[in-house]
Amino acid sequence: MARLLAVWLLLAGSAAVYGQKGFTLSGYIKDAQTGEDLIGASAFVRDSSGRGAVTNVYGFYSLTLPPGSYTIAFSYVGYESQVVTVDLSADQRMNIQLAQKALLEEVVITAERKDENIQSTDMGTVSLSIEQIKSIPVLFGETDILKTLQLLPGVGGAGEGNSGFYVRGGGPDQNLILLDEAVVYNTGHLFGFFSVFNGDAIKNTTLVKGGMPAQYGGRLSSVVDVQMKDGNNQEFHGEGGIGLIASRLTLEGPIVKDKASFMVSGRRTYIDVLLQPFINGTNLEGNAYYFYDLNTKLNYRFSDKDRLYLSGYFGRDVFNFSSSDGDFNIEVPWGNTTGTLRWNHLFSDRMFMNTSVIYNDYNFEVKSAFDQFDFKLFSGVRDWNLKSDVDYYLSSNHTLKFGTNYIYHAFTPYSAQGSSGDVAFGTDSLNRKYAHEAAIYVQDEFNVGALWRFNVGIRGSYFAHTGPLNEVLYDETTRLPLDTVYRGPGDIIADYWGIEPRANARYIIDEKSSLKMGISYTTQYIHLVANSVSTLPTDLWVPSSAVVEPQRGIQYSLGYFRNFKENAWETSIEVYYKDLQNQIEYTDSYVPALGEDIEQQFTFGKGRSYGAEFFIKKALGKFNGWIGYTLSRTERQFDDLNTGPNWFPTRFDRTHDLEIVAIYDASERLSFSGTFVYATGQATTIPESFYTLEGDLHILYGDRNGYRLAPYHRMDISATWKNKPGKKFESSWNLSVYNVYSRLNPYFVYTDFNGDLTTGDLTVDAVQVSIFPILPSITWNFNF
Amino acid sequence: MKINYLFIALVILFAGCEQIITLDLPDVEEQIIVEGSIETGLPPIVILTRSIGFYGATDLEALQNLYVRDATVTVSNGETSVELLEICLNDIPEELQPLVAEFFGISADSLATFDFNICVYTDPGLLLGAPIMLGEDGKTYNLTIEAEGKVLTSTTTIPPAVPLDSVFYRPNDDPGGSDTLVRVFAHLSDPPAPGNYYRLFVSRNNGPFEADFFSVTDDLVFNGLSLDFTINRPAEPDEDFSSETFGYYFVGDTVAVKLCSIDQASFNFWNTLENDSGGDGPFSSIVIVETNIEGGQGIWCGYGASTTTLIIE
Repeated sequence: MARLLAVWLLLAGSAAVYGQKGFTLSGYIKDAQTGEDLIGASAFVRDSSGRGAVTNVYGFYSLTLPPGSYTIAFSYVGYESQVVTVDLSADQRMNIQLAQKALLEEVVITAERKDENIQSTDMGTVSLSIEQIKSIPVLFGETDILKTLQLLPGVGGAGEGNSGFYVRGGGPDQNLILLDEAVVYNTGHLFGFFSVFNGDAIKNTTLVKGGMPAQYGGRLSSVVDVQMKDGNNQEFHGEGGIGLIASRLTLEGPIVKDKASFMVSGRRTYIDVLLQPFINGTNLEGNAYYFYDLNTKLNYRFSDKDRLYLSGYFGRDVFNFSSSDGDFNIEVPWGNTTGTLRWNHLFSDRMFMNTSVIYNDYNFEVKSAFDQFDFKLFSGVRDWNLKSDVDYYLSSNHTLKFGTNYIYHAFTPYSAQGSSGDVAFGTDSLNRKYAHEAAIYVQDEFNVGALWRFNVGIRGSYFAHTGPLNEVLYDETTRLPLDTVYRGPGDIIADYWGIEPRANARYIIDEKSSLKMGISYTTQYIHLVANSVSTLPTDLWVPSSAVVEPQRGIQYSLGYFRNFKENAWETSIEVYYKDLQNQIEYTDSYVPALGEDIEQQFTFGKGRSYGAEFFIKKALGKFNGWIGYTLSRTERQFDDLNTGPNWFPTRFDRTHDLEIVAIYDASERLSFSGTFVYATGQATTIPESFYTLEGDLHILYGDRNGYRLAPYHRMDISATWKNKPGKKFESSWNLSVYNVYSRLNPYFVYTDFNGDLTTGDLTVDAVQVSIFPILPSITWNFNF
Repeated sequence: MKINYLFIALVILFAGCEQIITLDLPDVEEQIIVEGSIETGLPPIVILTRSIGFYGATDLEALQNLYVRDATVTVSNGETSVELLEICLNDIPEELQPLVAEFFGISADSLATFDFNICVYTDPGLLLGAPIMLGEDGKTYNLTIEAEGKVLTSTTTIPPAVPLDSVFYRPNDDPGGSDTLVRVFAHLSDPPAPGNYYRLFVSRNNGPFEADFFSVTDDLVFNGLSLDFTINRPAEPDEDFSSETFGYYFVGDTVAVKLCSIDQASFNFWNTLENDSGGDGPFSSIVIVETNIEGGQGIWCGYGASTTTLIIE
């Protein structure tokens, strides 16, 4: 740690010397009504120089210019721009408040910078505001960030109605999903049909699917960075909604006006209540399932220089069952808890620092009792994370970022405790696993000449799996535990490091178009190996260890970006190639077993993915939306699977993937939206033949993922009608229809044996299961 | 198990829709399936069949033709080697038929109405009442099969039997439960060394020994411990599921519990076979069965058997 600190100080010191002549205009850009910081708002000089700055995730901007008089335009999508004339003869603090635009106003194209997509070095990066996400129809009318992300090119959904997603051929564990900087390990409620992100509590979502900047690490494929609302610091407000599945309520307001505010948001499903009348008196009586989540955030502004944020998330899914005779009962709770304490500090007008202490926890439990047999199963992961990041704005075209990060992980593998009568047993030998993960990075974004802009960074990472651990030594041939050796808290059982260079470059072709390229190395030290498609509560994260090596990846990408009609239309073509090492799968014959370290069931191989993404977006106007199309291939190769040296497609390989999103604001009170998706059928393994043994039928399978299910396609529509606004109270109705033409998309296929082998009337069928036919839903939303 | 309960919840939530589809399958080569065993004190028995294509015929005539006939099947234990004799049910003396039928999982009763010619390979001395090879605890048995131009080999051992300490019952303790129902338990003392694998069979009222849906276990969780476990009553072939009677025995029943020690490869076979749910669904995954047969599929399994009987009065 001491060494890390020394390097960090060195970087900070050298950066200070590096500063250039000029004065700095800096401050925060906020929403005028709510006081919320605006993320990604721009401050640009109105001349032809292209100088400007964009606010960071705390709404801070810093623009250093030579002395002189400037006209600066402050703007943000959906807000009225402000143009300010500044006479810059000294460093100057300027906090800007932008007002939200009336929805319908036709957008006037001005000299403001709307061509951020052309100018920035960002590739494969998409930012979505919660307003955009809320206007897109989803299952049961429940706003869902992760499902909306699936409508972007290069992002594939994990299955019908599922919030799980895959980015550019990366596995589900290769996405770094952050909620106010805290890692969310399991993003799904109810097997992933709903994500844990309650739309009412969220301000902004950014997806990085390629060219991951050095500030992010620990995952190979993508970053989904979700920020919660800070809470209105002007006046007290509330919003909420009543839907088919769940209801929501959010309250926010100032604690001390302009200085401190709070936000608290809750959501609960009532499936259990709704279902009760239908299952009373049946075999299923005694079943109950529900989920809820709670988001809270507090912030306090000590001064312009110091600000403190405290945010937290708590969510649980709970499933209960007890048999009608009381013989058997089971309770299964699972969920995430996160907490983030952040301190923003301005060292100077040009140096912004954020330091965070983060706690997060994912926990799964099964408690059951059957007759005289009691059983408890649990698993989970818990992190303590300390993180510090500095943004240093050297000049209008030169920004340096550096920081460090340390995480202490504690993993609980499937652990069982049971008792049968007087005898207790348990999997004590498989106790928790502990690991330390540390990283340090620096990244520099700068212009070279008028045409080139670079973002170059390097991230160094280190991971150590340490004691205390009762290390089980296995016999190499029988795989039976031979002996157990105690390793103390300081003992390093396995350690790894990674040097991860990242580089993105942009070349301006003309004022309407640019070319971008990127290369990024990534290392991932913790892994989730899933043997099914859904986000399951039983999904288990494991650390790198003596057996499991870190996953390593490299991605090359190239993109052409061009805007049309004064930036009203944005288009891009991106191609990528990705090479992945140390990928993990379960062995072909994996059967979950208690009392065995799950590592013993892993097998290791490599992966590759390549593709082209086409994107056309109309960002402005009454009629807006986008079309995305991806042509890609994603494969894996594992020596020890039955495919041997052959590459096989992953489940999430989609040759063709098309998404169309259209939004039409018909009037101030009425808007419509629709989406259409098409994807090549999922690759799956199917039975090819069967045989009889002890009078039962058993299956011989074909090649792994050697068969394609029918293609997936679906259309959803929705309409939103706003009631006449009252003085304080506004409400709206949202009517949406999922799967308009009731396409029976394959969810999975199973083999159905009917009849009796011994009487010769046996039939064998392949049965395709579809789960969501046409599903209308209605939601009433309100705010005050 | 836990996932199954969750799955029920899901199905009630969203009424699923099922349709039969036609899979466009490649031509698959037929495989020879071995169902072979050698148990303490019993001669080796081997049944050879062929795999059936997914859309292959399954009428009785087609099934009859699945038997691999005229194979050369040899079992050796290092000292003795015996070439097994092919015997079809129609050819064998009636007193041996129940033994063969039991192996196939059919009760003696249904055997009487059964118009099907089962073929097995077994010890040629069996019919003469003087078998050449009987299973012995601790011995290793090699199996070689030559059939239809293929050679299949396998090896299994009969691990020493671990007798149950006792089999006992307790009255039904459900509130309002019937007092003619009892729950049967067995008490097992697992040997101190790890690496014990068990397969359990139950016979009720002198019927054939039947394996439950999950019939095997290893001792990873309870190595060296002494514990009670429940013995479920095997469901009758035409019995509907009832939570009131499921697993319970009836007063008056005779219960024979056969606990067999098996080797690791045999355990892996049964464990993977019984855990393959038959679908690549979202809540389950396919399990490729880990066969111990080189050149084919199936199992060659040695059973170190010990039977304990209980009469419920």
